[in-house]
Amino acid sequence: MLRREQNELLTQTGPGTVMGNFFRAYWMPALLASELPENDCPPVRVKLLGERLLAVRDTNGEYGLIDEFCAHRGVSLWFGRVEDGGIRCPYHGWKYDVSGQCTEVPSEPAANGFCKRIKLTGYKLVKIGDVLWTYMGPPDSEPPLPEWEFATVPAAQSFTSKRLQESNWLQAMEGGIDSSHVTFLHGRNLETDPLFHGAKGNDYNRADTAPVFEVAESPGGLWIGVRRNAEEGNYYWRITPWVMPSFTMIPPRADHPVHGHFWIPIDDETCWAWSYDYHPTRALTDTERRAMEEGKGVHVAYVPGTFRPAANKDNDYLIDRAGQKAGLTYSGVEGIAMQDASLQESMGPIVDRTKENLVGTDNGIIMARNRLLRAARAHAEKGAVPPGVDPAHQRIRSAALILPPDQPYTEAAKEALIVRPGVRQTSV
Amino acid sequence: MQTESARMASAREAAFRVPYPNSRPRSAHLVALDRACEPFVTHLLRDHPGRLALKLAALPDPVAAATALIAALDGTDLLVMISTSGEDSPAASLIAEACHLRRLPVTVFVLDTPERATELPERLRHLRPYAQMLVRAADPDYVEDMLTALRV
Ligand code: FES
Ligand SMILES: [Fe+2]
Repeated sequence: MLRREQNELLTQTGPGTVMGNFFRAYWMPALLASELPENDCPPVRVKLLGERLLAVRDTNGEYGLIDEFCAHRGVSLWFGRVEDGGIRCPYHGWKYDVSGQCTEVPSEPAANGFCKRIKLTGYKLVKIGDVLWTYMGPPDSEPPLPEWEFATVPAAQSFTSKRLQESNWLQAMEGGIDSSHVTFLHGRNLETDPLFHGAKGNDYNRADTAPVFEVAESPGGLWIGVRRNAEEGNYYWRITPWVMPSFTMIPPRADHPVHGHFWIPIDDETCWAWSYDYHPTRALTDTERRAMEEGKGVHVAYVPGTFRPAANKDNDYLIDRAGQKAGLTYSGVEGIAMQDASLQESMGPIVDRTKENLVGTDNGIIMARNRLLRAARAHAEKGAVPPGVDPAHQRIRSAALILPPDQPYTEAAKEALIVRPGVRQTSV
Repeated sequence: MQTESARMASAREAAFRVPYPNSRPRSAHLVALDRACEPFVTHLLRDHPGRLALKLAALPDPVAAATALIAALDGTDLLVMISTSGEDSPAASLIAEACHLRRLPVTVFVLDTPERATELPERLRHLRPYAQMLVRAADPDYVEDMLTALRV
């Protein structure tokens, strides 16, 4: 459990809040690069950390994320005309560049320089991999650009998707570091999902239903290790990194691409669940890419034209009670992502953590909250640079491996847990 | 279309969650495995009647004390072993064995300071088999947070 004020501190990310300022210390995924496919394309409305913004790609290919509303009388610039190196409000023709600077107010004589005094809030938007990243913090504290491996490998090796999740970011992220639910909720999918099946590691998962957990601090967050029995007294370890504020990477299975998530608050009651899938050393096969596009693995199928999952709370996530009874899935909901999302959304928009009853296997979650609270306070009170901002904290990997019983995974798997260009993931 | 799920997961309906304490207070046994962590365990006991502690290193006959603790385990919800050095003791393995037989979950907390980062992992191999959950953290306050989170 958390006390009410701790729960509020961690879940509120609007402007001026402690956690909101904390998120604003990082480069965050804002939208898919494919949402702004060409110069002068239609702008995209983006809400992040409780701020309504507009993503623009101008005539010269420059990107920017600006206040959605015109400084004149508050019209949404989403209706605007993207032309001649900026976006023009369709109401009275005021024009802005991608930084939010007003460059033209047609009703005023150009000579009086009125437009120079008008500036919309604007944040940088940078394309790395399939993603447009933004930094919404103070300009003088801007950190180095992100170096997550999934975003820096060649395009043919990576696939990224996002889906709308109708819950607070924290309960979504906690699901991502809660390894103990996998055996139950996703157990069957390990066998049936094309992006998971056939790994030797799946056998250990099935055979040993009493996994043992080991959590250790890392410079950027945590290592969450789960071990199960393997042959000859050895252990099968699955090691999940969590990097602040909300990045996780699921341990690999066989030579399948490796996947993981970011959870980015839209506002306090919704978030973007970002899902990436990549292979460090080879191109994704056509079959793999097709499976990802069709919503297999950690991805989902959408309501056409939106990022809302086709199975959502308005249709009871298409729950199949007969399938639940027959054991085709554990919860009756199809697909790993929606199995998670349906349950996390069912907790309510912001779960009341004063009522929960945690157990020993929840230590990963307890420790993540503890580290977030400490880091967010240090950032607020002393201006400390948060863990995870340093690109070195981002050059990490998850791993699955067999180790002798007397070897600590953080040391024995040291090499496996960092990015080694040209070396494939460590997997069983 | 608005289904039950959509309505029940709304902010409005979240306000109607039944307000009652859905668990009874829990109790935990804290076992200090070495001298260095004893003051810290003493600190954890303050104002918490649900927490009982055993300081093995301070006792003339730790094995006898461990046996007595085992006899008193009924009604305990959680056993937490706390260590700074990662060293093993016969008394600790006795307790761990007894917990295992009773299916009482054991959490081992190891204070993981950077100075001892090299020898500690090696020593942990003694403690590893005892724990359902092993936590290595640099901040001793974490144990207080963990106990609070677990409602003990
Ligand atoms: S069993 Fe974990 S939330 Fe119900
Ligand atoms: Fe899950």
